Amino acid sequence: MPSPKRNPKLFVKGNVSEAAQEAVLDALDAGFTIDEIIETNNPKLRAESEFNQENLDELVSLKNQGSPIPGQSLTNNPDTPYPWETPPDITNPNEALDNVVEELLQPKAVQKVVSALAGGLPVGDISMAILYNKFIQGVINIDVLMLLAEPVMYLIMAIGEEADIKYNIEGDDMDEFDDEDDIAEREQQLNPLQQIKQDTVNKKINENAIPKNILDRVKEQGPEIRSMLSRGEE
Amino acid sequence: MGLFSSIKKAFKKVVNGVKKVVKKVVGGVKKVVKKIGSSKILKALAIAAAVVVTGGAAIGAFGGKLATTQFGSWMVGASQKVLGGTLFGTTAGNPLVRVLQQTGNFVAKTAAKPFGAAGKAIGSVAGGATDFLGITDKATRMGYVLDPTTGKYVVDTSKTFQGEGYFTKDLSGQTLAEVKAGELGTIGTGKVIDPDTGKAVYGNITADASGALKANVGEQISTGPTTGEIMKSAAINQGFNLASSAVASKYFSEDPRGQSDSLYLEGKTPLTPLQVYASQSNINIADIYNYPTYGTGDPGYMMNAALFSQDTIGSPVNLPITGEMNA
Repeated sequence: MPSPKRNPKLFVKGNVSEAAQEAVLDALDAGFTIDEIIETNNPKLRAESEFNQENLDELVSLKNQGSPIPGQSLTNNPDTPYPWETPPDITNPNEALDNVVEELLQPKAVQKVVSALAGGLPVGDISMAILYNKFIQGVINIDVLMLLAEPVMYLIMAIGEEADIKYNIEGDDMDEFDDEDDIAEREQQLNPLQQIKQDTVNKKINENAIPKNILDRVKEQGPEIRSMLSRGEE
Repeated sequence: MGLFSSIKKAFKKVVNGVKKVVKKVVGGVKKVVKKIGSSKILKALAIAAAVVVTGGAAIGAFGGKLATTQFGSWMVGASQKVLGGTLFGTTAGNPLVRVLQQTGNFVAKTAAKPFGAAGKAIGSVAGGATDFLGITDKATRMGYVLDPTTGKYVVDTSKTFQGEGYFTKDLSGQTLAEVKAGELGTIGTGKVIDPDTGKAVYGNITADASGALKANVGEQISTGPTTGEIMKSAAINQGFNLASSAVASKYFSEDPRGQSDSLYLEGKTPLTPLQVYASQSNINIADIYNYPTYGTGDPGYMMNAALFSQDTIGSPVNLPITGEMNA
């Protein structure tokens, strides 16, 4: 059981990456090890995308609907603006982050996020979808959207880690963070399985276990013995 | 290019930038911890980031294993320590108090515990490779063990207190967690089975300044000083202090102090990390709530209770909140 030497240090950073790094380094300095921080190192489920013709057809049909003509938005009635054309509901990034986190940490939302991560959808795209939706609804403005990109990405990464999923961050990059140590560790985990497999293959048949008449017949006929699955005589 | 295309393009750049930063940070941590896989460091960073983003005290809202890990508990300890301390000073007119009034991390109250509630469903999605509930670890730590015959968790008697007449209250059969939940009425001395080692040791249970219970194992049980002894000791100390101050004031003048320049920042108390950050970033401390900041020294990290129903920062515990804070 880890026994930290001291309480966490107080620090303030302007971005999540630096804050996370500081927290991890502080924990290491206080006596934790990386294994104690992550506590469990379960085998991860690899994110795998499956080709779906229906989804592709839907995407193609959406794309074929065409895009607005340049300047088309200027012809809209100014009395009925789109939500994103009106002042946003939240302009404070801290409040906006609370708003997003609150919705993201609902069971159904997490379930969908985990499902998407397991399906191979990158963290960046999921964050984009969440924040873009908030912008379209007129909840946040573009500046806040950009400011929230990093914390929301980290939160989704944490959900992925909590769900033991090997996820993509951008594109198809899930193996980018694997290095020699990870590969060696994975091989070490696989070694016992491979050993069992090898032992099974190399295991010699005990001759006493087979009746002598069958053994003699096998020796006599040799390669002429046909497999039960082979095609019969035509 | 339309507005939305521009947003998507800009967001892609941000995502790319974040990924680069993540890689850099993983590399930075890797320099400190040798022979640790990058994926493990990435996991540690993601966990730490979740703690920082959701707020230390709101870590429970994240649910799952994170809330029960040693690291999670340690990080939460920071916020609780600060909430009971005087990090932001005690002056009602302090701009930091205003910041704290604005801040109210309501995530802990409003967000559900997603992994606890959705554990089964997600488990099926993730192919059963995950243990969202983390009940095994938690149960072990809390002093419970799975009874294989009934399939239910029962109290692990090897990890409970053994009452032998020393306690002010009979604690036999209770786990450390249960004793802790019982608050101050359980303070006493006696034979304790250390939940960590399983060894029987003599010791006592005391409460620190914050009221948290602590088992001091392996200590001699003493009767303690009598009231008379304490008074005598105090009188001697007081007399000695008076005498030494009188001598000091007679023979030593006040310490010389240099003339402060225009950049003089020294105050009665050292600057808090938040004040340092605000000063370095050229931000008015009273407006810092408008800027996204992260870390254990960030007010948003520490707040998890509804405003005005929590203990105020820097105020004595259990005192009613006065109207001064509303100013």
